Amino acid sequence: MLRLTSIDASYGRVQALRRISLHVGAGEIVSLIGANGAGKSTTLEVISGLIRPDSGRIVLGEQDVTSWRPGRLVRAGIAHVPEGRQVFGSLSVEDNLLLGAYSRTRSSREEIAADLQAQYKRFPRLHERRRQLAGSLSGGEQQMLALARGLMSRPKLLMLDEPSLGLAPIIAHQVLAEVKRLRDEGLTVLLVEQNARAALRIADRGYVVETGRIVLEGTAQDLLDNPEVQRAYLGRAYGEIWE
Amino acid sequence: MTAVQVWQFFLSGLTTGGTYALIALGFSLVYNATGVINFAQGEFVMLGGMITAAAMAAWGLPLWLAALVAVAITTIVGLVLDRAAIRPARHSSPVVLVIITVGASIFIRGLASIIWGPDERPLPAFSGDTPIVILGATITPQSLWVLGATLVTALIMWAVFEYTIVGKAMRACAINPPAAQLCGIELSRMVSWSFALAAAIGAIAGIVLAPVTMAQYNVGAMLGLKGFCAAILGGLGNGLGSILGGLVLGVLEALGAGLISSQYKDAIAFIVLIAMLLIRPSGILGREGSDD
Repeated sequence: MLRLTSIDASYGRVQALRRISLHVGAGEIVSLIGANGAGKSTTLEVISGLIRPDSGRIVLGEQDVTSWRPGRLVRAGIAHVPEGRQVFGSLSVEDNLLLGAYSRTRSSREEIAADLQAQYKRFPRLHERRRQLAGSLSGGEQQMLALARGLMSRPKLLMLDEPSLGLAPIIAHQVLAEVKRLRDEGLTVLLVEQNARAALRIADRGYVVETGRIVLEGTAQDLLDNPEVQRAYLGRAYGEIWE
Repeated sequence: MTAVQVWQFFLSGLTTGGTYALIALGFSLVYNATGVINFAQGEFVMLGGMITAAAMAAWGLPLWLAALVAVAITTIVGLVLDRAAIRPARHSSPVVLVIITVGASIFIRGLASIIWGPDERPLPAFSGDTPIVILGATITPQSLWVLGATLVTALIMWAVFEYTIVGKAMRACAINPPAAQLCGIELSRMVSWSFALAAAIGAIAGIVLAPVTMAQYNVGAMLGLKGFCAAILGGLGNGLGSILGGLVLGVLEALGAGLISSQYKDAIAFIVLIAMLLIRPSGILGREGSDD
């Protein structure tokens, strides 16, 4: 579905990504894990066109989409739910959702209205609060809104950046459970999480990113069992591992 | 100084204030989309009046058609300004872009003086000159046109931003540009829209004002500055604030000119601007420390 080959990217003069290669198969949840500033978010921003790579190739399906503008990539089926939700705070919940469908110029009003109702069914809280300003929602509700807004573009590939960040554990769990349900409905997901354990529990495969490079890849179970991963990202003490 | 006189100043202040309000709205539109203060906004006003006057004189068009032509041409000038001057430099700092708009305003003014010469051009009042008496004060029918145009334009703008998807997309761009891009909204297209709307609104202001003050190639600079003061007064980027700021500024100017001295009329706007920047830089309706 998506393949990155040898992507280099930089913020100004600072090189953020070095020769990143990864692929996401249709119907998979693939997780990128790694420390703060390792380059996970930058990877998503390169894929969604917010940052142009210095070199390398991005292929979506059969199409080379390297250096496409974000709008075109949304229309091609990539939805990027950015870190920190980034909802439009002074617009209503419903307006946020409708803007999620902004790129669907070929869909009729009825189709978009039906999708809106589908999102309300998925997240009843958003339906209750549809007339409220998005900025007045709680963190968890804003994350649901950001997720639903992304889904309103009818993506083939959903990219989530730290969906559980700053949420109470029980809410974070609900959000990730929803992500798993979306995969079961046939969506392909690329998930960036600092909470590596939670991410790998729902993922099929994962990549470990360190200082802009991919240092390890494997099935989610392999990564969960890997002592290095356990030490660095799963918060297990040395003692536990050796016991 | 009688109450009727104050009432009279108030009414004539509202008239000029209506124009300032429309100009301020143009500033806010472009500011929201780009973060840039477009100092060529006043030239849109000049173009509105000048093109209407010229189209009536040279081609013998009726007023309404000449006005329509003026709005259309000015809108195109706004779009060209965006494409030719702002977009190529969009990665520069806002200060650079602001300087570009200052340059563009000088360019447009120069071009206007070459095309139309330095003479003032009269435009007939839209519906006669018979003054209307309201509670002892008189107001010209043209003043009502100015206030009516302000009101209608403000309502249309409100409806666009409240009820249309393009209006909401423009707001989304102002609130959070990257998130708007991720919704598939093309920022450059929204910037074009904002320049087009700002130019059209400026032209409308110029057309209704021209019968009051006459059209001339160099009226844009001062009107632009007054509109800018009004935008700051109301809260830059706030639509309702722009309208309010314009009306308040117009009234303050008229009262100041009437009660103190008409020689200080232009100074009052800038005194208000400086006072506002010192006391409440975010404007009457702007929220402090807010960026949306």
